[in-house]
Amino acid sequence: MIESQLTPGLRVRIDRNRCVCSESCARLAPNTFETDDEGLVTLLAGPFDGETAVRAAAANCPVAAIILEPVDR
Amino acid sequence: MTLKDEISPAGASGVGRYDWERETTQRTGAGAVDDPYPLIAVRRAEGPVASDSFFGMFGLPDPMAAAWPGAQRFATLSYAATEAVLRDNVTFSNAGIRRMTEDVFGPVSLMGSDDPEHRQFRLLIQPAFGKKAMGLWTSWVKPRLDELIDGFVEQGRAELYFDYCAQFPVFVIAMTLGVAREDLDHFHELAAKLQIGAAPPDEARAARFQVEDYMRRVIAARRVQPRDDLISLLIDSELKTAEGSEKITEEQILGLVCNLLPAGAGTTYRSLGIVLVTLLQRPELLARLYGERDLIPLVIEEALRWNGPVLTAPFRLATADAEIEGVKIPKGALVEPGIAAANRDPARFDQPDAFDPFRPAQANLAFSFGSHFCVGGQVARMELRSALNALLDRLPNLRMDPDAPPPQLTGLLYRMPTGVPVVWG
Ligand code: HEM
Ligand code: SF4
Repeated sequence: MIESQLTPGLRVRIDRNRCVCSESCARLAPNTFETDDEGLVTLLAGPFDGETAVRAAAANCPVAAIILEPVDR
Repeated sequence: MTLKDEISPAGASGVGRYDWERETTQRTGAGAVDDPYPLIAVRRAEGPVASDSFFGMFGLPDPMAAAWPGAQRFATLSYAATEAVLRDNVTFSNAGIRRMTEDVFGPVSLMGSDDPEHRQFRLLIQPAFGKKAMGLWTSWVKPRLDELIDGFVEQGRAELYFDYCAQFPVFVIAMTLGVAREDLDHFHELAAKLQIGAAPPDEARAARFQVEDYMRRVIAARRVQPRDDLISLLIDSELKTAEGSEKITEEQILGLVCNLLPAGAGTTYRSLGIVLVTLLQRPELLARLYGERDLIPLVIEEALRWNGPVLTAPFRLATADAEIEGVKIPKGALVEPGIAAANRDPARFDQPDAFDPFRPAQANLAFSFGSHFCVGGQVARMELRSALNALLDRLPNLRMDPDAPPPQLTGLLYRMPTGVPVVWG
């Protein structure tokens, strides 16, 4: 999974080609992000970590591999 | 011929090795600076970027100045400025460090390359550091730790910095790479010489050639008969590209090996030493850890923030005129990303000078940031956790040795304790 609808208004997308396996996202939002066998980021099904945690994960990703997109409703 | 025959017998005894490492660390600011943070705080209050190198700020001779005569120097001090430099690897290039690291890393360098080549290289070696490969690393850690503890457990007292901390990260890298056990001590010495700025260029180069020759033989052997080790895993690594797939080259594997030794050897053991001294100075917290092992990751993360083993990420070369947090950086300037300074920025961390494992979870820059983020970060965290756990498992009531001089933290470019003298029981 490289894309997930977190809330009706918020979608997250990850770019595994950029990921440098810092695990920073998995620390800050552990129910949303995980790293796989290769060490690269993957998305988890939840429960939702909350918008603050997910935004912190995106902001602190060393390589901007986590993209948050507002969804038009 | 084994590696043993190829290097001089000087320092073949364990003691020689330690002295050598002491000298190295002295050259990088140990002893000359014990606590750099007060001055860093003063300079940060003047602005987020200093127009000086860290060595310059502390009035010490700068090892970089010889390689880059006349270059303008800057050092970032705030979290935002440090992050901004590390995030933009196009404007702030790693290629400048090649002049310093070529002797050590050789022509193919992970740390000294920029995207897109760096990205390709990184993706090729990433499997060696992911969750699947973690088992390979872990399998060497615990037995080694137990073996070291066996060596002193009966004595009731030990110097953990030299007899424990320093004795396992190189071992683990070497074993994971497939170095034969009888060659280990010598591999350790070579690794010490491969620390950036640690040995004169010709010695560093000679050490690299020996490591390369040795590893070429390991690679050749694994091509014939793969084993469950890192080299076999790396040999198989390939990237799917639009045109098909790209295999890792032998030169890339050797470049990685020579990068791993300085990057993964000194850092982890110094960090463990810092963690231990920090805990010994806080007996209540240490006592609590025996029963609450789940606090260990918090302690380690906070120690990395509060006193990480490296002051600055490798300097960046400005490839164009730029601006960081309002400070103009001319093309050709060298910028040191002050990760340790950033980790004490009061704008980012409340009471930044306090060691507080219970502070709210927040990312720090101890393993750097951006595309060069430390590839061994998860290995390092695993090693630190295991090493602390192994001590708590076997040495009850661990405390500072009352008869030894009290240890303290010291060092500029590399941070470390003066020692970790302990008693237990
Ligand atoms: C506490 C321990 C460690 C610390 C604090 C640390 C810190 C760092 C830092 C600051 C960088 C510089 C990144 C940059 O250019 O911005 C780095 C890079 C690197 N580290 Fe570590 N490191 C540690 C342990 C390790 C270990 C155990 C390994 C290997 C097993 C390792 C392998 C590397 C490599 C290969 C690079 C170059 C990455 C690249 O340029 O893409 N490190 N590390
Ligand atoms: S924070 Fe970014 S680089 Fe780190 S694991 Fe997550 S996606 Fe990868």
